[in-house]
Amino acid sequence: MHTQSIVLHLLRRLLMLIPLAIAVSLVVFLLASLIPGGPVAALLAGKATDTATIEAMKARLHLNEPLHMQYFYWISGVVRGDFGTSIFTGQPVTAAIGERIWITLVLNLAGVLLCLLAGGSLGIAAAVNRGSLFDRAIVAFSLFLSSAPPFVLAIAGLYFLAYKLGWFPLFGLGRGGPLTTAWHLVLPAIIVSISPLGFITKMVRAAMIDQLDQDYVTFARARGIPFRQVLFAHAFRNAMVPVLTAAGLLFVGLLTGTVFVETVFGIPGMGRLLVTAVQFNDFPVMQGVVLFVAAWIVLTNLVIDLLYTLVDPRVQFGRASR
Amino acid sequence: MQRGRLHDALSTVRSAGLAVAAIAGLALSAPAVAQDKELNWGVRDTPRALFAPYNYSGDVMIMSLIQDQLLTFGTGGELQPALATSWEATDPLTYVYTIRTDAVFSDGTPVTVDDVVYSLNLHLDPAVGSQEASLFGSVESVSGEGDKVTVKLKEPSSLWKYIPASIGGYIWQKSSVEKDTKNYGSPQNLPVGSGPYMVTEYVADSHVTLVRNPHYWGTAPQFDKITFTVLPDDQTRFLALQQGDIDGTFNVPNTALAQWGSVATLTNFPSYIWRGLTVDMEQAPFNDIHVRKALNYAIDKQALAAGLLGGLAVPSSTVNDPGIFVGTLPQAEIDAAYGKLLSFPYDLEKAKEEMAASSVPNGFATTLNVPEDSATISQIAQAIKQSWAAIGVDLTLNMMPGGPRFQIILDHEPNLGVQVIGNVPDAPDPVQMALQYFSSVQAVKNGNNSSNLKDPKIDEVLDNALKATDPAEAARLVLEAQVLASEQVPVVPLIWQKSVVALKQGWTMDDLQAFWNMSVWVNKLKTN
Amino acid sequence: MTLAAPAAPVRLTRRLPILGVPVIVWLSIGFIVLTLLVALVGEWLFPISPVAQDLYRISTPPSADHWLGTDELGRDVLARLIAGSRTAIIGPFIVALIGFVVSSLVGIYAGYSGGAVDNIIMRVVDFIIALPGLLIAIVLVSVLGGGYWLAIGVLSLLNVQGDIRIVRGAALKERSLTYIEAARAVGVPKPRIMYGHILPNILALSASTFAIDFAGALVALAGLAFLGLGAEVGTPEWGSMLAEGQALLFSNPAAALAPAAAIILLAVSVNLIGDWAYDRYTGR
Repeated sequence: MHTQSIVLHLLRRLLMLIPLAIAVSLVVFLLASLIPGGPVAALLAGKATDTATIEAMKARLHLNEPLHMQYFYWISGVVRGDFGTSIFTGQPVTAAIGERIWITLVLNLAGVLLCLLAGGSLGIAAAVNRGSLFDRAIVAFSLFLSSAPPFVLAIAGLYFLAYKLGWFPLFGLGRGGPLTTAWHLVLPAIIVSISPLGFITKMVRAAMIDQLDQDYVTFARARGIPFRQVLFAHAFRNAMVPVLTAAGLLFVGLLTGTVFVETVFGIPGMGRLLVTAVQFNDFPVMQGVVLFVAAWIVLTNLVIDLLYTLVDPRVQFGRASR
Repeated sequence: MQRGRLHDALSTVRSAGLAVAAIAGLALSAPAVAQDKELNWGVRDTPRALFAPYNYSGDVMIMSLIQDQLLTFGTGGELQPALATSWEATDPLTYVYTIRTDAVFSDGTPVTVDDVVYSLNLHLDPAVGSQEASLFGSVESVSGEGDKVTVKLKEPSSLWKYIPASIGGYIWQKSSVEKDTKNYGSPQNLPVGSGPYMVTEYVADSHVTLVRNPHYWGTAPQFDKITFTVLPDDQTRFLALQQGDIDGTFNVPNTALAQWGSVATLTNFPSYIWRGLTVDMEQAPFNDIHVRKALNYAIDKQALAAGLLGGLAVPSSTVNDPGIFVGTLPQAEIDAAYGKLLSFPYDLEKAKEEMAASSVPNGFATTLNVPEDSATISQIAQAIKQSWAAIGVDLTLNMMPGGPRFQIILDHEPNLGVQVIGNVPDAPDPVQMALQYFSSVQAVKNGNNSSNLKDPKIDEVLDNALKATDPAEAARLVLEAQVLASEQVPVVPLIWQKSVVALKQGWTMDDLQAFWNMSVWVNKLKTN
Repeated sequence: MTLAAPAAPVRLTRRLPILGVPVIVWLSIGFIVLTLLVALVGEWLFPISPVAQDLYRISTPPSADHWLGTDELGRDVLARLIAGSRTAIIGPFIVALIGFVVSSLVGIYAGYSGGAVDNIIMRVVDFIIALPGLLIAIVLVSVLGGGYWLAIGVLSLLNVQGDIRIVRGAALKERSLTYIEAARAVGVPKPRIMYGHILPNILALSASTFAIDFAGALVALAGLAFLGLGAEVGTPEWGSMLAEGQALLFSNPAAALAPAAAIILLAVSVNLIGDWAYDRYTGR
């Protein structure tokens, strides 16, 4: 593909972010406004109150204005870079997200990469030894780990590795520099990597089996090329497309999908931010997170699709097939 | 090079100076440098804004360590001086507080009468939208002059005198709040207080760190540094306590008391939390008193208190925990009044008799909205469902998010049915809860009287209680109102719940009372 | 990791197969049959009621009266495990099935068509991903009330986007292969190419994701039940039992571990059978 058309394609895809962002933020806004009581009832839940208090709270939060005006206030803030203030903590939404985004990204990226590494290795090993007990054992083992409810994995990891064996810190991010934080994220990252493991292993295994069955492998080996070379230089690369899809899925769900790990290990991440925001109908935070997620999705999709073309030149985009 | 030599010279001088200072410091300071005494406390929920007008929740336990209040509660619930050295009700509508002059905020600026006036006015200003504005409903104006602050009420209120010691009584620094009201109390705009501690770090969903306020006017508290660690998961908190990463927590799940008790010291203490059901007396079949009595008889409240809550509760017969009267009236009088309440110990036979005598002898079906954010309420609701099934009442439980569930109560539309309530008074004043559940004034939109109890006699008694200037008289009137109300069975009282604190082995915390979180509670910790 | 050459003819049957089916697959089938049986008659046969509470014996570990101990309201865990087997199979199965059907239809269409069609469909999928599932669940509870089938619907919606992406990716790859080009050249109509040619070749993927969706749905239903989107609170259901058993983990581990084990075993069994059936079907 010509570089120019790739760049154009990229730009087109990035522009798609705008309608996606607007659509998503609009729908989230509408959905949230449907919740009876909104943030006022959620904040006061159970406390005695009176009409004057509630009306004053609503007025301060602009909740009495028509929906389209509220949305307009928010959007006009966004284009100026002001994403609003959290109703729950009073902090600016940019600060709330900014505090957590690096932690979440590091945690999730580490987890996904670990998973890809482990799953990839297991999958290849299983494919190469297809049909043997080893193969079955690998698949069953990774399946077992993946079928375990994420909460159980987190608590098991916490109890055995952190508490009993003391290999890892129990919770939090530690008081220290980036290195301490990184160390505190190791066990949570391991836990994050386990759930998708079965899926990745099976994907890689299936894709590799597919490739190993192909004629070119037989021919290459018949010509005397060492199996190892065939495996890594050719078969693996060709197997990459479905693996990329799988990896892409994991990355896309990255930002808010690890709530259970954040809860168990007491890590301030985007997952908990979103859950708290939804529970308390914290409009500005919900909108902010959702925008972020939309941007992240567009970005990840782009990267994955680009990787598709890199890995398999036959895969083309932007051109309709007949 | 000249510059180099000058630099060297300066460095030498600097080092020499430091050495001298160090030696001098050693000579002047205590012989041994004490280790910082630190407290690590576990909390389940991440704090909201540390600014009371934006935060009407249990986070007061943190705010009370940072902000002073005008007054404070003693162990018996009596009002004691704090930022106000004395107070006086010059007439039923006017309260004058004398403010101490030696209080200093943690940034070094003194606490002035202006700050006090400003803080109280925050709750009166609709633009602020304070969540506690309802506590100031009877206040006309707040003004200050010299070293006195005057609060004028619209009508007499026996409740008002306690408010300066409650969440409404925190004193904020006017200059810092005015600078950025919108974000005040957030991690980006930490609150400034004149209390024993100051916030140095607040990372939402992670921790809040407090260190001593060097300018605190009162007795220095025992800890140099306090860290509140947010641990939402019960098991992580348990393991953290067991391992010593946290020294204690107030969040102990009632279903695992034995487990926690095996690794930590559990101490329970009164908290006046009331849990019960309101029953809409204007809706059939609940308008039939036989039905209401049957619903009461059918529930084994003792099992809820001793079994489900593991002894952290006692069965309740009305809204106010009798302990709230202890500072004001003699125990004998309290016991006598509570003895007169119509009570319903568990009796399935009586329940069935009442149903048989009612308008719906064959039972009926109804629903109960259960807030999803409380495991305890969910468990109690399931227990009630079982109990009522035995008398032919088919209860369907509707799990709902907390906000929408509460909104249904606030909307106060017809047919409120049964609602489950958990509430706690803001002050050791029995009038508050009695008003909320038994007065027709509250049987309206945004009110709490979901039973729609509208009895002029009870209203009159409660109104007199509210206007009474003598606390003992107010208390007596409330006792009378409670007895009158119980005769009509407007609610199904379930339990009065206590709070519990789990501390690492060797530590104790005695003398905890209700409203502990409105005081410098860390001083009650006895470490070994 | 051994890099020995793979065995020449690829055979599945190793290690004492019985009737040509490996032992482990028999075990899986056995477990599923057992679960079905228990779902049908278990509650009827087992003497202890799954909803009978005993408030004075909450969170007790296994004992003679209660083989798996009691939960947070003193109910028998084993009885609830048995009663919960009913919802364990149907609901998640439907979620996985919807995921399979929708992703096959939509994913292949998107992947094969490419261009604008692909773009639009994937943007819609992205849109669904970006929406917070929790918010959707809460809104639905507030507006429509709760209910088990609503939960299944919500879960299906949230689940489908992952499957579509996977299938679309696979279809994208298939599209560029020679045999598809050949089919096109020969004039095979588009629907036939999509569902007659591509679909069979990516069935492995779909079978995999089906089984994984099943396990995920089993657990996700518990999360939704917490919000009111699910069977009424207190109904025996493996996912809810797991969620509520969290608080009792060190008081009565069985309260959480028993449903967890049941969920894992069921999911793994479904996976293994699916894999074997696929291998068998494609003669690999």
